[in-house]
Amino acid sequence: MEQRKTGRVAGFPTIIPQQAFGANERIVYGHIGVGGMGSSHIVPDSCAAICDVDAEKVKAAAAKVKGSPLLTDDYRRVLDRKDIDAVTIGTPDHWHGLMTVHACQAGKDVYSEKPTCKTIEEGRAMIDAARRHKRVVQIGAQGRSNPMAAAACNYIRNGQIGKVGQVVIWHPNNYVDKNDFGSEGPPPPGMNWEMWLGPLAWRPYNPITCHFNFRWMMDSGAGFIRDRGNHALSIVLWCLGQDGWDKPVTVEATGETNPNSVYDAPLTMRVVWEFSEPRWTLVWEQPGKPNLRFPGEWGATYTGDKGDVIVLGGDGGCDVEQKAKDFIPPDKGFKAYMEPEEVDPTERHRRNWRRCIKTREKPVMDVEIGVKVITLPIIANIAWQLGRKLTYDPKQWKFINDEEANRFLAEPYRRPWSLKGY
Amino acid sequence: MMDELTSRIMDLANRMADPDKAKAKMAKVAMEKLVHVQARPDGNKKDRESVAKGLLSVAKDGNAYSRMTRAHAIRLLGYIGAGSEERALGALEKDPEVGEDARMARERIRRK
Repeated sequence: MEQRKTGRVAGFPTIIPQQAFGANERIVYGHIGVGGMGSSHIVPDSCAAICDVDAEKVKAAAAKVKGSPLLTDDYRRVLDRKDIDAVTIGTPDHWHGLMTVHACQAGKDVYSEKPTCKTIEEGRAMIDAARRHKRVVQIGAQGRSNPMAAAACNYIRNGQIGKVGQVVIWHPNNYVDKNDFGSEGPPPPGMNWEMWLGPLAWRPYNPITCHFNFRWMMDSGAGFIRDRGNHALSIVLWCLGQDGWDKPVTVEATGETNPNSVYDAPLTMRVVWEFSEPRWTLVWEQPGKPNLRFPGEWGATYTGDKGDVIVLGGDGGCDVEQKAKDFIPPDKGFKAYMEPEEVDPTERHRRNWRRCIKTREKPVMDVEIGVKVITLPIIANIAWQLGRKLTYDPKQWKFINDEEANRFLAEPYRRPWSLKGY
Repeated sequence: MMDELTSRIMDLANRMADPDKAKAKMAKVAMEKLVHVQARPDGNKKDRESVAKGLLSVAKDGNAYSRMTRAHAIRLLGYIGAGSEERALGALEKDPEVGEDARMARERIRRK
């Protein structure tokens, strides 16, 4: 069994003291953000509220559930409900941190889609809120519930490639590369643009900068490195046993945007993180070249002093070379934890969360691990924006000797939004 | 006489109004890069002040520059500004167009 219960990240007790649910007691959910992945989290027979800023999405989701849930565009009304035990958050990325903090403050357990959060300050606030209010918070990086990723983890952590010196991730460019500035104007009826923006600095509605394509704007999505990167980097840290990395890391990033489009996240990007103690190098290449020995759309080559192994994907879809699939961990070796039911990874990940709501254990992608993971793309984007190499000290939660970089660690919110409460 | 960096910032702000959106974006990105270069740890204080002066001129002028151009300049002031810029942004908080942007930039400067 993986030592997740006593890992270095776990500076807090594994069991979160709280009156536990009885085995047959039903969890009542509120679902916030029900487009895309958010819609897949809906529990039709235990849903008390559906929230989305797009009325069409609320309507579509409501048609799938039983009873008469609250239908709203304001997540605060969901959090106010005393009958709701837990919420899923499937909103655009810039809301994940703030909503998770507020949900914890309101006494709800949380399943928040990746990426964990937008800033270092949010990450700290999420951990603090989860612990202070004794909440179970799972980040939706479901690669941690994928048996192929677990096989890779077992293979690497039981020393089959020796000491890992380098991991190189390849990934395609951001999906939208065509020349398009869209058009600014009033939002369509039923779309609450002010609420979609929430804490972001105001910008006009543009249909190509919201819904799926918010990912390519720095204020809302910050590109594939923070989006898919959350998945890929989660698997890397898991495979290297580095969920608790706590020594300074340097980061250097280059990349170009498409000058003929509205999107300001890098279309192409190359990032190098250099870790100390243990010393190893992590590289993100966008576009990268698939390793032809075991190709896929995205993946990583792990190179150690005794060999290497290729792992594809990192979300619900992962694969690993046969040698890792064939590997059986020794009795006293490392064994990656998998929730027992053999269902697809996303559902397995959700079931892990639901079980932990009842037992009050930390889930497999606990918020603290989620913050460790997302710190890497966050600091990469800052290095890219500043155009210079940075050194980040995770124990101090800040960059060393760069005041301007440290001004990126937190993002001021538009009023009335605040991490202090809603 | 306006120094070169101040003048450069204001020129880029003018170019952000180009009806050719690609040229406007190029000017916006160039302004960001200029700010981040001058805000680097070993940057020259005088150059930094010149850039900040240019950004403030853009921020204050609701006649010459669009709301989004002013907001962009204000945002960048949040990264490079110091005490005097923070105070000047305070005066802008009552501006009906960019008051909230100014408040947010002040918060960024003040935060330690």
